[in-house]
Amino acid sequence: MPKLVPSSPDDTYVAPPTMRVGEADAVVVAAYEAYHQELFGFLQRTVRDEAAAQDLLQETFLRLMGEVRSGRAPENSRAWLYRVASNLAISRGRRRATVVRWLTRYGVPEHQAAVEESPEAGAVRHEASDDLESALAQISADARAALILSGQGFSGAEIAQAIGRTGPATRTLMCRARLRLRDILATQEAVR
Amino acid sequence: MTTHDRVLELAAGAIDFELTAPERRTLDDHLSGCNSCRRHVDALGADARAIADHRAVTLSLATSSAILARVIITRRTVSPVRLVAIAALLALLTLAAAAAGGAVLRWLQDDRLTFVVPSPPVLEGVSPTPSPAPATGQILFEDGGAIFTIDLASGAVTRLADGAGPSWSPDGSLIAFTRSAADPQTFDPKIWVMDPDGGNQTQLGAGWGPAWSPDGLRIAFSRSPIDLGDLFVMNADGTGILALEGGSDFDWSPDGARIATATGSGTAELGLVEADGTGRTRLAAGQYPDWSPDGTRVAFVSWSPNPSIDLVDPSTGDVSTIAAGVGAAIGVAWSPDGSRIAFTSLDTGDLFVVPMTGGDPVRVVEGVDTANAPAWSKDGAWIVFTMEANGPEPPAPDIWLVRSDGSGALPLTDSGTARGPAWRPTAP
Repeated sequence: MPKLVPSSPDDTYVAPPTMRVGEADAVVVAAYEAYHQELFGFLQRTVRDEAAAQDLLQETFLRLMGEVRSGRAPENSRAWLYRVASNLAISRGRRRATVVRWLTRYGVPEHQAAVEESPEAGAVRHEASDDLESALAQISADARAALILSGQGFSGAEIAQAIGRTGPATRTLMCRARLRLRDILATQEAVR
Repeated sequence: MTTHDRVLELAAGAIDFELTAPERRTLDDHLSGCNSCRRHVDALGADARAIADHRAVTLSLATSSAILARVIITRRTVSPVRLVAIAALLALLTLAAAAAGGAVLRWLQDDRLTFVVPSPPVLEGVSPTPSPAPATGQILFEDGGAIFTIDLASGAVTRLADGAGPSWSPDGSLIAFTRSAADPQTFDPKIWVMDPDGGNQTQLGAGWGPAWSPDGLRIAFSRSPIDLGDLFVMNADGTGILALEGGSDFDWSPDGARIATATGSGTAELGLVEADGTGRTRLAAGQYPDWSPDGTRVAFVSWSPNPSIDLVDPSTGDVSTIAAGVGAAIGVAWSPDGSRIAFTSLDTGDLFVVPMTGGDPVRVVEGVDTANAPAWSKDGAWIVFTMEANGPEPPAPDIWLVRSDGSGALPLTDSGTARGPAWRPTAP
């Protein structure tokens, strides 16, 4: 052992910091209190299905709990939570897209497949009063996640990190998504 | 693609990303003379605002509480340690690379680094360039809830203890680390120290994320992995705990008198606290502080107006920029001789080295997932760092090694759970 610094009587001593049993829970609860509503909003808009968004919200915080309990916790919990939530939402989107393609190929009409995919999404798509949501429903899950993250104040670099792409790839993805969204909205505006 | 299409693409990109100066000129020049594009660009901006303003469904209190309860009570088994250090291969490669004088890795068409076992070069009247010395020494790291060292000369991997966040004492004679209770239902992190072979494990007290003072007499730490804005210092035997005004993002000054620490994120504020608890001064807006080896400057990441690597003189508060235009930077590390700074970019995942004599940052590792946490070898020839795989799942970090000139990049682990690499300091 190295020799120790002699402590001077002037030092301001404080009680040793203690972690009570269950403090991991407290840490996760604090993060949940702070971020669960905005994360749920993000997930709900990205997967367009309230029940699925609830499941993904739970999974996201379960993973945070796993990290904290095993001694590896994120330095920036909000960014970490969005990153995990984005990945979960996008993975789900990819799996769903595969199911829909499969159903369509094997004779299930596309609109039924879409309804199978998510009743809520179908309802959203057919609600003419919500042009923006219906336009967002027509772009890919990762592009949608990126645009919604942008709307929640994340920078391009942070979005790239969240959706697991490089900066240039994310810029291309988001550029195309914004232009496509504008085209869809312009068509909707022209119809009315 | 027409000029109009190109301009609209730039305008869409500018919503989330910083344009280069020529891109910005192209955009502004065109918009000043094209009403149609201007209207289109305004509409793109309005769409972005509409997405931001859109109110999402909120969770009811009952549903929200039910989800939280399930998170709290669900017992998760922690995934077993899966360390696959490519140890024997590593030893083989460092030797073979020295013999062959060739790069051990090469870029393949998909831009990913892949192992290429070196073969003797085919020489056509060209003498091989002399190969730099292979990496030697010991690297300490964490993988899946345990602490390991890897000996670069032999490739031997040693599992030292259960724990996380290991940190070498300045002379390399001890390791401090954090260990939580084995029962995942409880969370009770303690700071421990042990010998470099894992022997003499001694618990010091409650705390998280220890870092030794440069004289090895004290340890700074925080209370929680979540940034609660707290920072403590104690003697290396766990006595004399002192609360400082700071956060878990900190770096000791080389003389051990002060600690540079950033609190908050995004709009983080960088400050200096006296290690004896007598005061705090504000330095600049930024985070990820790293002291120069001579103690005259602190490198840090500034976010405003655009991300850059800045230096601040702690005696005057003067700030200068040494690297800009490389996107959001993280993981700043000064080379041991103070001549260079390594940092990583979140935008591109690249690892850069910027010379202190001026000049552009040199990209050392390019376009492969996301690099972070660079740490230099004592001779400044090598950098060890983590690389997080970009994929559909949460971050999967592994430890890599690269020469500081960018050659010889090599993965040391492929578990997807390894992090926190640190070269063993050698006694002066």
